[in-house]
Amino acid sequence: MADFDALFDEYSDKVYGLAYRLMGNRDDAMDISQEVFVKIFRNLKAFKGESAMATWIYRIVYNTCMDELRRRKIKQVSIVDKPDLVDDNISVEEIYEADERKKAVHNALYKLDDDQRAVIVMRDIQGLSYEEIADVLQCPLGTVKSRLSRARLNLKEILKDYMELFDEVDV
Amino acid sequence: MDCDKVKELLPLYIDGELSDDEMKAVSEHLADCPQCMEEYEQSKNIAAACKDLGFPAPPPDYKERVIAAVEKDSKKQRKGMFGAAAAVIAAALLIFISISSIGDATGTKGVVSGLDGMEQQEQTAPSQNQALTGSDSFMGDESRAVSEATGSSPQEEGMASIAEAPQSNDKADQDTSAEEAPDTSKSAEQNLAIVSANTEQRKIIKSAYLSLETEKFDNTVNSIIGRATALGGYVSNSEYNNRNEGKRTAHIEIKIPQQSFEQYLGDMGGYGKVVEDRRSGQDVTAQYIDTETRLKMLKIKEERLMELLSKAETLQDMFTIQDQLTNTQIEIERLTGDLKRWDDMVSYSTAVVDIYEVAKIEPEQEDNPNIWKRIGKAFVDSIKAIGRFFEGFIVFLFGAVPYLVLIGIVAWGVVTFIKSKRRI
Repeated sequence: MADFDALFDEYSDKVYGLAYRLMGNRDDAMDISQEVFVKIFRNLKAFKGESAMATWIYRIVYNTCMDELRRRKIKQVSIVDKPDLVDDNISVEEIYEADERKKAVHNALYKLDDDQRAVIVMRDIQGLSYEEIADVLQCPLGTVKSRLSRARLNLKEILKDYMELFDEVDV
Repeated sequence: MDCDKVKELLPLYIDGELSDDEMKAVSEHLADCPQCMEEYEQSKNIAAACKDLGFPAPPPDYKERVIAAVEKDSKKQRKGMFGAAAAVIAAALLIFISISSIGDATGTKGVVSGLDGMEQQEQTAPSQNQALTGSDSFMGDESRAVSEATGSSPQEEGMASIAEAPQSNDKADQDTSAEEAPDTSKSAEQNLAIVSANTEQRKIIKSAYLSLETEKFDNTVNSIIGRATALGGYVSNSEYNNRNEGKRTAHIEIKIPQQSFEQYLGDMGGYGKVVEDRRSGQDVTAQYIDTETRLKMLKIKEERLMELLSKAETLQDMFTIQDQLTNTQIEIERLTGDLKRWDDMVSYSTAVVDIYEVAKIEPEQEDNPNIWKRIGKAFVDSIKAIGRFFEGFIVFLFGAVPYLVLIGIVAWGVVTFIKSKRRI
């Protein structure tokens, strides 16, 4: 359990954050996080360090989210519509503090396909390297590149009406 | 490089993930093309905006809820393991019950005999001890579940079938029931002896069926066979069943010279508890005399035909007489055979003995035990039965260990394979 505590302290925020960005709301993020830690605890012994602990955990998060999203799609609940009403649970401050740009990006992200959103989240929000993403997705580097490339182009296309927000260089 | 191509490459360009040549080409294009430069700035800003989104902080009760979920799951898993263990035991129990019931019902071999092999191993020790005390061990080969020994009488099959035929209409039949044996069997035997004394010239085929219970199976079998040999008899047929420990059975058919038959049957009481004793005598005197008379007449006919044949004048006559003579001789041979067979059957009586091994010979029951005794007995019997059941089950479990190990290895392989295929 000491192992688990250390593990939790190190990865809990990242697990929750990634789950939140993939699922789009806090309730799901919480459910997914619980499920992910259950899986981690169950499989910790079987983890042989064939990849970094971090990517192993992100892989669990990614797979759990994708399974859940797929399950919902089968149940005919469109996940694309849902994030439009995004975040019933989003905190009041978050709404007011979030500038127009953030809101636009947030909404645009959930119009992307799930796997395209995943690479954007991992690359741009989480800041993983291409190699790490390939490891998480268990796919070749080339696939990561092409998927990320397409995701960024699509995201830009979705955001084209808000493009004036991204003209100024303020970063 | 044109603008469209550059737009294609921009998404990776902002991460510097293009090849050196492509990076250089795009950089050069951007320097010259303000429109693409704008696209580039936008792409970079979108990525930056994404980065700005960041990850929200988890709620305050996050850790508690996660730990609760993990603990709940590990409890469930323990329960699952307990359930799996229970399922394994239940399955083993089920297999045991079905196998033992099949074994009882049809006496099939296969797995049962494989498992029973163990029980028989245990049994080997006592039976060898007994063999030392007995004259010679009949059960030389313990591994054989059923051994067959067949005597060498030319007519054994015919005799056996007659011996096993139900009691005939002869009034000399004696049917002593289990309760009367063995004391009353003496008087029955005397009756039979009197009848046979009165009809010394009569042809009577005697047979008897006895059923014995014994604690010392090997001794009993050896004594019965040994005694028969000593009296000039022989075993015409025997079957042994070693299937169940403590429940071996033997079926022996013995031919005994008629004059020693009564004596032999009388000795049976000393070898075990006689629970059934049926005797029968089939009087074939009438048929015998009849056949003898016909035989005499046929012989006279044969002589006459011989005479006629020697006097025959035409070829036609000769053929006709020869035909008749042949038929007569065939008939004579048949009847002589019948008489010989009857003589054999009369001079050797048949005893069919079933021997059952029992753990303990039950004492004679009270005629009408009161209800409390009956309840007590039923209770004790049930406890004993349960004890025996679990004893058998434990023996089965250990006997089945090789199978269980095999099944376990296969199951483990399958589970590992499935797990390796399953992503987390």
